[in-house]
Parts: sequence; C-alpha cells; structure tokens
Amino acid sequence: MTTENTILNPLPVRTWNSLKMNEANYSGEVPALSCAPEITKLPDSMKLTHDEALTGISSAAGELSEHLTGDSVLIESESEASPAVLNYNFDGGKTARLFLKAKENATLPVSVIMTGEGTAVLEIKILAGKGSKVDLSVVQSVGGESDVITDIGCTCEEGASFNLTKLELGGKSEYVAVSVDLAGEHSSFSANAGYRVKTNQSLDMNYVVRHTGRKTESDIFASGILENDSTKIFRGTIDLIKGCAGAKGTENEDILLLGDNQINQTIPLILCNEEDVEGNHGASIGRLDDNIIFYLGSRGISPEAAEDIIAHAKLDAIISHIPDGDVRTLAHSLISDDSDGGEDAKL
Amino acid sequence: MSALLKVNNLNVSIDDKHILHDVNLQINEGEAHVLMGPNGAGKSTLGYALMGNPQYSIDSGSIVFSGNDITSESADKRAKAGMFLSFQTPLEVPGLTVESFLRSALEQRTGKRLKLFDFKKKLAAAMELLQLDPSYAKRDLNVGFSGGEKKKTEILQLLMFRPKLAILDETDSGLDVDAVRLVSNGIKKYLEEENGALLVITHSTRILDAFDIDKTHVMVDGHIVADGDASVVDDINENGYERYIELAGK
Amino acid sequence: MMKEKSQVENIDRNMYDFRNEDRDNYKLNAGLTEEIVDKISKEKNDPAWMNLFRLQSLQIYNSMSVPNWGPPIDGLDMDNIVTYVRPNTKMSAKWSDVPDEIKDTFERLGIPQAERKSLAGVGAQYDSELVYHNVREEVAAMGVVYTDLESAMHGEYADMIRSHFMKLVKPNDHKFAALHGAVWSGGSFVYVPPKVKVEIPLQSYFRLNAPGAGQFEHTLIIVDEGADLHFIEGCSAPKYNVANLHAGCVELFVGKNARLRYSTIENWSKNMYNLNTKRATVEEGGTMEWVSGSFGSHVSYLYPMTILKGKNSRMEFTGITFAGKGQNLDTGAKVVHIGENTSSYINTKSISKDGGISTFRSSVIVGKNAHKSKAAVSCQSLMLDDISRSDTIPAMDIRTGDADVGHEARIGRISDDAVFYLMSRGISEEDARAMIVGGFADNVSKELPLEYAVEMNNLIRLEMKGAIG
Repeated sequence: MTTENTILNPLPVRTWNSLKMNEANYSGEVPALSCAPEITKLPDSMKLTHDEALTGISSAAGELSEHLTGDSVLIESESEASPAVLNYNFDGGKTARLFLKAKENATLPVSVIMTGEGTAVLEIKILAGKGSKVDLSVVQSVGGESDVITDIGCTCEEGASFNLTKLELGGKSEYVAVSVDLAGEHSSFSANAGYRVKTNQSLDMNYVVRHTGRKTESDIFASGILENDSTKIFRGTIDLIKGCAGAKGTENEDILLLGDNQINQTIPLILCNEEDVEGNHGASIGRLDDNIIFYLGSRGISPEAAEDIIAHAKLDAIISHIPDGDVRTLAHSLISDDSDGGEDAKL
Repeated sequence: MSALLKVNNLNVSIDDKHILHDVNLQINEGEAHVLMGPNGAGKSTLGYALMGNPQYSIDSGSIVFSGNDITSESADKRAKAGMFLSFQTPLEVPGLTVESFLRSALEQRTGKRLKLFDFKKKLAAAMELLQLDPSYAKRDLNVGFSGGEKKKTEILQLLMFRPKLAILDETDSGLDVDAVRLVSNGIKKYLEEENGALLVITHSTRILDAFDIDKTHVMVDGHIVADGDASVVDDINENGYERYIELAGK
Repeated sequence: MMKEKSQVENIDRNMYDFRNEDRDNYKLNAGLTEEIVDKISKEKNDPAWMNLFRLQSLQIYNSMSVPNWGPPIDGLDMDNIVTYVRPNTKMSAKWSDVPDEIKDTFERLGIPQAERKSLAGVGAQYDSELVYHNVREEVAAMGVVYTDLESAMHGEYADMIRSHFMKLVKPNDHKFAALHGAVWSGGSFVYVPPKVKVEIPLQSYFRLNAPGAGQFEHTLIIVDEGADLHFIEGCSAPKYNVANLHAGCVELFVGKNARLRYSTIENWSKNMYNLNTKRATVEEGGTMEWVSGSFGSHVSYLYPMTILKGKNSRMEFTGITFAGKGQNLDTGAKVVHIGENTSSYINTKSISKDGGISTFRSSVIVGKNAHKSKAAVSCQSLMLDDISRSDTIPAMDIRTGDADVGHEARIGRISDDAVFYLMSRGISEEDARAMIVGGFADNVSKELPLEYAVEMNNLIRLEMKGAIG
C-alpha cells in the first residue's frame, strides 16, 4: 500500500504550526509483505504462536498505525525466562508484527534485531501483566537508503515494568513511535534510546507515556550523535493524568553534535492534572565541552579522537542495557564497524 | 643532564588579564621540582599553560619540551610527547568508563592496539597500589567519585601513561592522611620506574615528604621571585611567604 | 490579618472590579465589517496609508482561521465585540482636565501617585483612547518622545511610524494580529534618541471599562543606538458577564548596544480574552529584557518574542503566570537567534489553582549562522490542587553545531515538609503556603520596581486566600 501525507508521530498537544514539529507526514510504501523472524533464541519457558493478535494497546504512530496488517507472532512468558532473540530481515520491504505478553510475575526479555535493505515497518505491542517485567531491546541496523518505521505500544498492569532499549543505527528516514500506558499502580517504564544519525539521514521520534496508575514512574533517556547535515526530532510526552497521585516522570536528552548543518529539534511535553506528582525534563545540546576536550587532550587524546570516544561511550552506555550478551556484542561491533565503515553484522 | 622542560620568559593571560610575568624555569630529566606560593599566585595557571589549555593565552615567551618548541601545540600533542598534568578538579565524563578511557588514551598515545591481558594486569596492579576498588574500572570517569577518589584516579593515569614529566597540581589538597600516603606511594612508584621528572604545585608540604626535592621555586603575583633547593620549603614552613611577598613588591 | 500596603493602592479585588457606568461614550456597533473599519479610520483621522492598511488587514483577518492549538476561544464571538469605544474626552496632558469619572478610576488604581513618585512619564488609556499622557520635563528635554500613536502619525515622526508600524508583527502573522491591524486604536509611541539613558521608568496603563468591548492598543517603542529605557505596562478591567477582548500589539526596536526592559503586570478581569502579541528585534550588542506577570484574563495567548538579529545581542525573559478558577492561561516566550554569539535566557514560573489551567509554551530557534550562541530555558510549575492543570510545551529547533542549548522543566507541588517547617515556627498553614508561593514567584518580583513587586505579591496573596479547603 502506498500512502500520501499520512500523519505519523503526532504530538499529543499541538503547538505553533510554523515550527513544523506537530507531526511528521509520511509518503511512501507500507509494505504488504509480511516479515517472519528468524528465531535465534527462544527459551523453553516462552510460548510462540502465530497470528494471534493483542488488541487495545495504544500507538503513538498516528494514522499510519491503522494501516498495519499482515502475519504476526505472539510470544508469551509465564515465568522467569532467559532472553529470546529475533532477527528480522526486511530485504525488499516488509512489515513485521510482534506481540508480547508477560503473564503475572513473569519476566519477558526479548531482543529484536532489524536488518536488510528496503522499507521496514515493525509493530510491537506488549501487555505486561501484573508484577511482570518486560525487557525489550531493538537494534535497528537496516540498510542505508531505507525508510524504517517502528511502532511500539505497551500497557503495564499493576506493578509491571517495561524497559525499552532502542539503538538506531540505520535507515535513511526513520520514525519511532513509542506509546506506554502505565495503567496499574506502581507500574514503571524506562527507555534508553541511543542513536547515531549520519549525513542526510533523519530520525523522527515520538515517545508518549500516560501515567494513570498511582505511584507510577517513567524515565526516558535519549542520547545520540548528530553528524553533518543530519535531521532529528525528539517528541517526548509525559502525561500525568488525574488520579496518578505519587507518579514521577522524567525525560532527559543528551545530544552530541559532530560537524555542522544539523537540524536538531526537541519538544519535551509535560502534561499534568494531578497535584501530587513530579515531572522533570532536561536537555543538553552541544558540541563536546572545551574543558573535556582539554582534559582528554592532556592525556594524549586528539580532539577528533575525543569526539569519537565520547560518541562511542554514549552508545556503549545505551548498549549496556540490552539483556542478551550476544546481542550486546553484536551492537558493539555495529557501532565500531560504523566508524570504520565496516561490513554488515550478523549474529 | 639535559633539559627536559625549558620555559623562557613566559607571559600568560586569561580573558585579557595578564597573570604570568616573564616566567623562566628549567627541569632536567629525573628531577623533582616544587612550585610554591600563596593562593592566587598563578601556580595553577602555569600548570595549565604548560599543558596547553586553550583558555590561557601565551602572549610571549616559549615552552621547549624534549628539545621541541611546543608553545603552540595542542594539549594532546604535548601529552603524546610525554607531559602529564594532574588536575586540581578533574572533570567528570559521563558515559566514559575509567577502563575504556585508559585504553583509548593509551592506544592513542602509542598508535597501536593494546594487548588486553597486559593492560588489565597493569591496571589491576596500579589500582591495588592506590587501593582503588576494582569496580571503579567500570565506572564513568570521575562521575560520583569523592575528592580523594578523583585524585587517586589522576595518579592512576600517571602510572598507566608513564609520562616523562608529571605536573601535579595540588594533588594532596583535600586528602586525609591515608589518602596522601597512597597518592605519595603512587608518585614514588612513578619516579622509581620511569626516572620521571616532577613539578609539584602545592601550597602545603605534606606530599613533599615522599621524595627528594631537587629544586624549589616560589611564585608570587605571577612572578617567580625565588629559586632554591629543598631548604626553601623548610624556610616557608617556618616563616611563611612574607619575605617572598616583599621580594615581589620590589 | 495584617493589612498589606502598597504604594499603588491597597490591594483588594474591588480595586480592579469597580466599574463605571457605560453611558454616553461614542461607540461603534458590535461586529466587524469593512464599514466599521472605515468608520474607525475616519473617526481617528488616519492618513491614507493607514486607512488602506486597516482594510487590507481586515481582508487577511477574514481569510485566516483561528489557531488549531492553544486554549479554546469558542466563547469569543467577534460579532458581539465592540471594536471601538471612545471615552467622552480628548487626550490631555493635564490631570485636572481628565473627566472626573475616568480620573477617579485611575486614581483608585494609583496611577498619578505612582507617576509623582517613581515614573518618568505616564500614559493612561481608557477603552479605545488615550485620555492622559504626560512626560517629565527633564526627560522630554533629553529628546525622549512619549506620546499617543495617533498624533505621532501626523507629526514629526510620521515617517518613522510608517516605516515601523506592524513591520515586526505583520497582519498575516496570525488572525488576531490581522484583527489588530484593522481596528487598532490608542497606545503609545516612544522614541529614545541615541545614547540617552532614561533613569526612571515610563508607564502606560490600560483600562477597559465598556462591557463587551475590545481593546486594541498599539505600542511602538524605538530605543536608538546606545540608549536605555524601562517601560512598564499595567492592565486591568472590571468584570462583566460578557466576553471582552484584548488584542493589543507591542513592537519594540532595540538599537545597537541599546537596552530595553519591558515590564508588564497584567490583571485583566476574568472575562477577558487576552490575545496579545509582543515582539522585539535587537541589533548588535543590544539587550532586551522582559518581565511579565500574568494574573488576570479568562483566556490568554501571550508569548513575547525576541529576534536576536545583531551579533552579541541578548535577551532575558522572566515571567510568572497564576491561573486560578475559570482561567486558561497559555503563556511563554519565543526567541529566534540569528546573529552570532547571541544569548537568551527564559525563566518562568507558573502556578495553577482552583481548576485553573496554565500552559507554558515556548520556542527557541537557533539559526544556521548563530554560531556560538547560548540559549537556556528553565520553567517550573506548581500545582496547588488536583483539579487544576499545568502543561509545559517547550520547542527547540537548533540549526548550528556550535550552539549551547539547555533546557529544564519541573512540575511539582508545595512540599509538605516546607509547610510543616514554617508551621512549626508558628505560621498558619494559609500563610505558610502563601509565603512558599511568594518565594516561588520571586524570580519576577525581584526584577520589578519595589512598588510593583509589592503589588504583585499582594495579588498572589489575594489569589491564595482560602487556598486551604
């Protein structure tokens, strides 16, 4: 299916239209072809079924989310589990749909690796049951000229926690929508998003967290590198909804600019109609601090190398949140290959 | 003995404020020098200027290190040439672990990949000497470190990088007795193993017990007002800076 | 309870809510047509270019839609707003010539007292027209011009006005800017010649008395090279049951190495739609400082904008917004960095109470050539109960690699520990909370001249009355 000017990643509350930050418009292919995962690891305690969908989970992707169809995979976990690893190859343009369901007090660690060349659309919908812990990491390393759309939605029941690690390394135009409903009391969400946007690439992110349950907590950390002529927009919304007393929401952004001519947009919303809450946002944007360049310089590190070291360190810090060791190793090799202009990585 | 560092008529300013006036200094290989002076004399400025902090502008004069004029070289080139400065307030670098920092810096200095096993062994030994918990290797550089831990981490770098000249800026300030002892051990080890030269910037004398002093310089108001041997340290201990401040007035 | 005294006046809600009967003024029919705009133009004896400008603005107004963001303005029906109400008097430079009723109004608001004590000049607007304008002799002698815009348009400064009027805020900027262009009336023109430093502030006070009316004053200030000015603006209106509209426009031109501080304490009544546009452009080395307190209005859209055009120019915005019952106040600031090494600092506080909605909205744009620029935004919101709302919508668009941009936002409540601490020293809970809120607002109060700071603190105290339920 081809779409024209479909609204993608809309901001939950609009602001000045002239800023062109309220939403993205997507014109292009939404592949009808389904993408089946290569399942590299699946612990016995997890159950995999085909074509069973989870419904009623929200999306921050906007109109586009309504167009997603195709085969799907559902993974359920009933107990403690070691990480599952799924490898999606989007060669030729494909749409993948993945549903995750953690039953009461279960753990569900899943790593998803996105590779291939072609328009890649990945939908992941998650239901984190009472007291469960869902750890999702998505390493995106789709080929250079592709459009990449990721639509992640999660509902957390009482005491559930959802940890998301996202590493954005590929694609020409990338859209990431993450919508989390902290519905149950004491449920929590934490996100670590790392990216390296290279010359002429763009990254469009829309993170929306709705706190409805009491004493819910969210923490979004986005950290990345923008190279020459790259474009990035980060929309992050913490919605503290009446009744979520005791809730805490935090967003932080840390952006390192390498080179020049970047378009770097950030719009972190905090919406609040509950008194007993805390909402925080912080952002720091800039080049590497002169004092740090001098300090590292005094240890023999050239300014160019210092930038590279810090850029790596930023992504390393994100990678350290990936639960599966092999995927961590893969991710490390991807970011190293990146700077050496190396070959495609495989697990 | 040949001159390792030669500073000739150095004038330094920051934000158009003239701080150092016609500073001359020579340090030979293997020598330990002490730079003393009251607060605000310009001692740290000299350390930064020697290391090439771009915020300090060198208005005239020159710095020659190992026979090369490095007056306008960047800090990393000076470090690669064998100069080291321990910072009074080391910077926090979130996201960069101590271990990967040391590795990157060493690889940069040598231009070669490190043998991981050797590196880990040396790191472990140096950390033990300084009684730094091994877990600190995995922590972000200086982030959340106490004052003492930061100073120890500076000395850890000294031991790992093995420079020809180490400039230690108030390395003992804010440390308790045990920490001073550990830091002193680290400095001793450096002197023994590398036949390294030392320029210790300090206004107290605790750390000076750890090694033999070859020369002492006294700085007041951006001028070096006196040069002497170790006895100058004793003189200052007994009589303070007054005599030297008078010298500066002349 | 201790009486709070301020130089401006004892603060009491009645102070702002008293109203004069709306009887024998000249008033145009409600609504907006070409005929009405033409009538306003004739009534004001506009030069031909202005007449044309108004009609063109009306066309733009009709072609534009209301914003699809921000607080709802459904309650505002332009067909019911009277765009022009002329009080029964001519503009005067002598207080004694102002009609008693109007004089009494401003006296109750404390305007002449303040002038005598601490102001370099005063303008007072009643409904659509300025009724009083005066500037101290010694200030006038320095060449400072402070007059109403209408007469300036015909005098010595005609060309200057024509080349600046609505050049910064163009009628096609948004629907209410177009409205303003069509029906503007009253307001001030200030010109400070090069190197002149006006040591004490100038003030304009706007009072909207007629029910169902709009006020559309235009303020045009030009601070020439190396000059320095502090301008204070105060607004109030009595409360009516019908919607009133304020769509003023402020255009500020800050010259090379000049400095302008623009302070506003806005206390429109709570039936007011305050759709105000303020904008400044700053040349090389110039400084623009905004101090803004928003307490009144039913709905506000207010985001003073600064264009840092010249290199090394800077701006600072300090604001507080207090949204109580029935108020939806959408406020903030905008800045565009164009020149090199420019800097901006936006520091705001907002307080929501009794179901009030406060939204902090900002945009920071750092252009491609604004190398080495610095921008910092800090906004803090305080929620005083769980029926109110507080939103933060800050946008940043950075187009150069060597800018330094920081942003921090915080939403929270009054800490129980702090209230307890004060209460343990013998302070009542109500006073403790008022003290904490007053402290929260001190970013603004410490930027205001003392008498205004006192007035503002009293407004906060007034809003905090009965905050304990």
